Formats: sequence, C-alpha cells, structure tokens
Amino acid sequence: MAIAPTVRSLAPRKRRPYRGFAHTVWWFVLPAAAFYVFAVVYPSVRGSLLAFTDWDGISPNPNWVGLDQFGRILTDPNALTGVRNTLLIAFAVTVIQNVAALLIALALNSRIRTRNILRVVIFAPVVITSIAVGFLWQNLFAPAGGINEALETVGLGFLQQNWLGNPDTAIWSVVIVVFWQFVGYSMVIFLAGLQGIPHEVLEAAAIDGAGPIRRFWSVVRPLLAPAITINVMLSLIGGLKLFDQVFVMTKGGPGGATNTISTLIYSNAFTLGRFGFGAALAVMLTIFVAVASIIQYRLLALQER
Amino acid sequence: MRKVSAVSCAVVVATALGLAGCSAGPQANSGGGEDGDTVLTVSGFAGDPTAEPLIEAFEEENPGVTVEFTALPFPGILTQINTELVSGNASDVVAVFPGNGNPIAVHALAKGDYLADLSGSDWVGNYNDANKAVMGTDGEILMGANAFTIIPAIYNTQALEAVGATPPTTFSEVLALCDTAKSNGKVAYALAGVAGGNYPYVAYALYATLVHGANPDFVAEQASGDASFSDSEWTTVLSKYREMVDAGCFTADATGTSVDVAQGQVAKGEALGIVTVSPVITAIADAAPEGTTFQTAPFPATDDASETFLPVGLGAGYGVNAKSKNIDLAKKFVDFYMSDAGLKIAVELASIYPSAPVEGYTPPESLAGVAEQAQGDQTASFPDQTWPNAVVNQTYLDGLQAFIGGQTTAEDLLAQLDSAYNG
Repeated sequence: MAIAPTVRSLAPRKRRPYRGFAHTVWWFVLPAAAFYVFAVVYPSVRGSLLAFTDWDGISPNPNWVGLDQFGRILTDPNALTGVRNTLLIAFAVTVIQNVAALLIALALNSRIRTRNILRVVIFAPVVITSIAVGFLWQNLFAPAGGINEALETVGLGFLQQNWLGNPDTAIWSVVIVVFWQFVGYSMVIFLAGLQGIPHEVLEAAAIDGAGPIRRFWSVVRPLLAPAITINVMLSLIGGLKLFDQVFVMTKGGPGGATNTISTLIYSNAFTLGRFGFGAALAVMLTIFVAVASIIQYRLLALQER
Repeated sequence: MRKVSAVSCAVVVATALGLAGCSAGPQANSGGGEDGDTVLTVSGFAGDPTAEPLIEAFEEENPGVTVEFTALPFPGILTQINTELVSGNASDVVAVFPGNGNPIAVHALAKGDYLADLSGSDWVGNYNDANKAVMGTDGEILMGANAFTIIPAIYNTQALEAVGATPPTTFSEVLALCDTAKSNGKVAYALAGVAGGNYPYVAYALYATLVHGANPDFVAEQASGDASFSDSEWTTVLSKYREMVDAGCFTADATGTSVDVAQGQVAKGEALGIVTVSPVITAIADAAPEGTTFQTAPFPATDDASETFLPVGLGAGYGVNAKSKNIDLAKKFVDFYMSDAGLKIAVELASIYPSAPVEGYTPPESLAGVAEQAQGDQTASFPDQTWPNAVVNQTYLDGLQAFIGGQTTAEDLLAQLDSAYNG
C-alpha cells in the first residue's frame, strides 16, 4: 500500500522532463528551419510564381499571365522536343545503367583476381566533374576524334559517325556518356547489396538444386530489392534533371535535337530572356521528378514486400 | 494587371534555379580602397589582353583611383552581368554588346533603364547614324565600342599558294576554289557547325551582298512589316549556302566540328580559309606553324566582284551602370577607353580594327585585304544586331545548324525566323 503513492508521484516527474526536452529540441531546430525556409522554401515558391508572369529578365514590372506559360509548353515545338528527349534519356539511362551495373556487380562480387582494380577503374568516372566528362567525350566524339579513329583502327571504319553532329546519334551519344559516368555509382550500391546477402542462403539454395539463374531470380533479386530501388530512383532523377553533359557536349544541338528540359530552362531564362517560360518549364520538371519518383517508389516498395 | 518586383524576381530566380552564380558579383560602389583611394569596379571579358594595360593607364591618369576588374568568360558573362544589373549589384562599368540579340545587348538593357546615357561624350561625334542606332536607343548612347568586327574570308597564304589559287572575287570562283581544294586533298573553307562555331558568319557574309547590298532599306522595311525573311533575298543566301555545302566547300561533318578544330584546320593549312570574325585571326595565327601568314578578302556572293559588300559591325564595348554610385568616374573610364590613348592601347595589343580614327594607325597585314573597304560605304551591319529579340537569334542559330545538317529546309527555317521576328 505504501508503494502506490510513490509510483503515482514518480510518474508525472518522468513525463515532465520529456515534454521539456521536446520543447528544447524545437528551439534547436528553429535556426536551421528558419534558414531552410529562407534559403530553400521562399526562393523556390517565389521562383515558381515567376511561371505565372511574362518577366523577360529585364523589365522592372512583369505582368501576371496566369497559366499562359504552361499552355505555351504544349504548343512550343522546342519544349515538346525537350520533354521527349528528357523522357527518352531518363528511361534509357535508367534501364541501361542499372542492368549493366547489376551485371558488373555480379561479376565483380566473384573471386576474380582483378576485382578490386576493376572496381576502382569502373568507379573512377564518378569522381570526375560532369563538365570535364562533357569536354572529354566531346573530343572523343568529334568527327576526327578518338571513337572514329578507334573504329578505323580495328577495321570497323564503316561504323564511323558524325556522333554529335547527327541528331539521330547525338542523343544516344549523350546517353552513352551518362552511362559511362554513373555506371560505377550504381555498381557500388549493387555490390554493397550483394555483399549483404548471407552465403548460407545461397549455399542452401544451391544444395536444394537451384542453378545460377534460379538462385539469382529467387534469392539474390529479392534480397537486392532495396539496392534496386535506390539505384533506379537515383538514375531516373538524374536522367530527368540532366544538364551538364548536354550543355557541354552539344549545347542542345544540332538544331535543338538534344535539348532537355534543363537546358531549355537555362536557355529560355538566361539567354532568351523568357524567365516566365523558363520558370514554367522548371515547375513542370519538378512535378515530373516528384510524380515519377513517387510512382516508382511505390511500385518498387510493393516488390520489396 | 498585377505587377511583380523585378528585383525580387532576379534575386529569386538566381537562387531558385541555381544557375546564375551572381552571389560573387562585384558591388557598384564608391567606397574607399585600402589606401583611401576611390574604387571603380569594372566587369569585362576574360582573356581581353587590353583590359589590364587600359586600367593601368587610367589609374596613372587618375591618381587616387583604383580600378577593380572582374574578368568574366563568355558566354557566362551574358547571364552574370544581366542578373547583376537587374539585381542592382553590377559593377560601375560593365561589358555590353551593341544592338539586340543577347541579354547584355544595349537595346535589351534599355528596356529597364539599366545603362547611363553617354551621349554627352566627345567621342560620340566619331560615329555615323547607323553606328549610333546600335550603340543606344531613343537618342541615347548607352555604350562605347572601340573596335569594328569584320567578317572577311581569312586565308592561309601558304596553303593557297600550295594549290596555286588566289582569294576568289566572285561566287563562281568560290565554287572553283572548292574543287581545287578537294583535288588537292584539302577543304576550301573550315566550318564549325557546333554551338559557338563560325557557321552563322558564312550566311552573314552572303547576307551583306545579297540582302543589304541589293536593298539597303531591308532592315527598316522588315521593322515596319513591309519585308520578311521568307519574302526576301534571304532565300538566295540559304540557297547559296546549300550550294556550297553540296559542293563540298566546307569541313566534312561540319555539324560535329568544334570551333577549335575548324580554326586549327586553317592554321595548319588543311583548310585554305575560313569565313569568320576578324578578331579570331590572332588565335588562328597563334596556332599556326612558324612562318605561316594570313590574308583577308571580302567574301563574294555574286559573280560581279564590284557588288560585294563587307559585313562590318561594332564589337562589344563598355556601358555605365545607371545605378552606379560613382557614375561620373565610370563615364570617365568609358571616355578614356574610347579616347585616342585607349584606342592606341587596343590596336597595339589586340590587333583590332579601331572604330574611330587613331593617329598613325596602320591595319595589321592580315587585315590589309579588307581595311580599305571597311572604311567605305560598301559595308553592311550584322543582321542580328537589329533583330528585335534574342529569340530570332537563337532560332537562326538552331535552325541554321539543322539546315546545314539537312534536317530542315530553307523555307521552313525562314518561316521560323519570321515567326520569331514577329513573336
């Protein structure tokens, strides 16, 4: 009987410090939150509002034009080409990069002697800046550049192309460069996932008679699902936002054939003085990325279960 | 309609889109330097060999003044200076372009009154009405430009001699030179078809004779709606360009060739010549083997040599930030830049063709072939300087790339240009 009052008196004392701690935490968060609102939220919202104006980057008083700029996106042939190219690049990069990275990771997760060297070599392009990568490949893809010279040297001269000067090959040249630069990044994530799979599970599957393909599909793939989710997500977002490599290698040419939404945002806002239109494209890209990411995340999360 | 503050727009866009990088920009100021000097800030082109000597000479002439120069590379300079002017934190003196066509061209900046009027300066009297029209607007002079840019055909003299040719004076001779070059394993004219290449200038050279030469009032008629790209000699410009492409006059796979490669072809004699802007001669000569010399000639567009016009336009120069707190000193700097002393520094160090008379000046050997005509009446301004908005220029650049590559027709390109012009 003497214990009960003690317990009652202790209980509130435990809760009070907790509430105080919670309040204290918010005070710690406030400066960072205020800075975030000032540096990210406010400029983003105000920048987005430009999409509803006709500001030319110079005139002191832009006009409010409602949804006109978004309507122009649907009728502007350059914008439509940019949207098509962006989706093509994002899809192609996501598929090619992840399939190749997974195959490379599976190969380098084996006991081959040079696996460490190969891992470094394949990952190396990731640490090079995209601008440098763009200039490097611009030279390699030049009509008298390294790619055509190499093809000539190995007797495949008939495959020589005007890689960046032909609209049909220019867009795929960009895809190749993005793949080359980031396949190592995806590979490392897959390798980390593969190394987290217990050997015992694979051995048990092998003892049960599962061949390599069956082991991959029924054991490795499900256990690798989180790595697949993050890789597909990152490559898709990266593909949708692609700017540096295109800007350096082709500036969106020839004839606008390699423009992406990001290069169009830049050229419209900062070269053509169409800030309103550029902001509308930026808002549209943001929505693209958000929607694609949510759908993809949901689908892959379902698979993970 | 609801109005939105342009200043906040500029700040917000620069941050939200994350592309302008204006945070490191200089401040227009009249503050004191370390030693109590008055500080004048100037933003100009990176790699301009005349900037430093000009500033040293200006400081020497103005004791107590320190000039802080910010060198900005092209094309980033276009967005940076534009954003800084709109945001109100640009340098006292800024690099600008004549006419229209880019974000720091004076006609574009005039819409926001971002540049101070320089029409009271003595040097303004050296320029004719056509020049003044692209140096400002509404009777105001908004920039000083100390050099003319010429678009000649630049030839590698030794390469020409090696194939037994001389600079052509008619369009038929141009096509004949193309055949001669090909039969000698060379190309007649180097062409860079990637962004920033010389491909627009071939059309400008043809335009000078075929459009301006045939109708000097074309620009005015187009501005008043009485003429258009589609219904003009621009069709002939593009048909002759196509004729040259089809005749193999240009670098193979030009649409994938960079400007460095194209200039290198002329420097090494793999190409006999190149049609491009005159300041490039210095870079080509620097890349050429020792002993290589270059000559220039007007690029013909008809079979009558006397009809050939030469494209000559004012180059980039300096304007004064209207919000500068040091406006008188800023104007003094531009006056010095445009003075005989400033011009002498420029002609000595940059091999430019001065836009005003300079005592004792003789053009460099490489420009001798066009110097006399550049001073006469048989010249034409660059068409992009009078186009009403930057979209026309971008449409021209993109469309011409596609035209050279065979992805669009002359009719489609000219229709696109009309649409952009009237848009």
